[in-house]
Amino acid sequence: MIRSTLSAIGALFLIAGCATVQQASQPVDMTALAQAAFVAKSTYIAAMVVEKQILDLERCDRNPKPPCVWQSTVDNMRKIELAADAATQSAENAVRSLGSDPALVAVLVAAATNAANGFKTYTAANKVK
Amino acid sequence: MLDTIKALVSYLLTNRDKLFAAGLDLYDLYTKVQAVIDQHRVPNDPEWDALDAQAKELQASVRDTSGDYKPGA
Repeated sequence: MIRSTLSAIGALFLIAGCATVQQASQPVDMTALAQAAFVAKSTYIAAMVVEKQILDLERCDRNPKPPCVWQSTVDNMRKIELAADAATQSAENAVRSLGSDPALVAVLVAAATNAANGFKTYTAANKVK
Repeated sequence: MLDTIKALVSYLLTNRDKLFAAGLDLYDLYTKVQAVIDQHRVPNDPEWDALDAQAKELQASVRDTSGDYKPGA
């Protein structure tokens, strides 16, 4: 039984190792990553345009007559914008730098895409109707 | 990624009038993005620098807290 257990554990390590080697040997499409980073940054910029329109509204806290925006919404939106800026800038820096680790670039670009889309979704949900 | 691009294009076209009214030519932004995708290439430095300039201009505006509600102010 000990021998069969050790064989099972060994098989698991072998499978994990093969998966790692396979993952490492898959070529990373750096052109696609650069394009995705560019799209993420563009999405972030487009969302800022909508944010600006929202910020131009009166604060409901001072005057609740519509159209207005609550200060709490503004505060949340600014936090999301800052996070999207950091993520898209990191991805941009990574794709524009020669010698960047492709695996790290892929992670940063995915994070940038998620952050930019999240920002776009938030501003779209709160935009002036 | 294709879904992201389609979503961005759809968003820009739907809100085109409002976005133009915002004083920023986002159609130009869309054409820059589309050119890079259509030509299957990496964005070049001037294209990135143009995006950075647009981002900085907007950031100065959206990070201005002068219009914010401050309790007790």
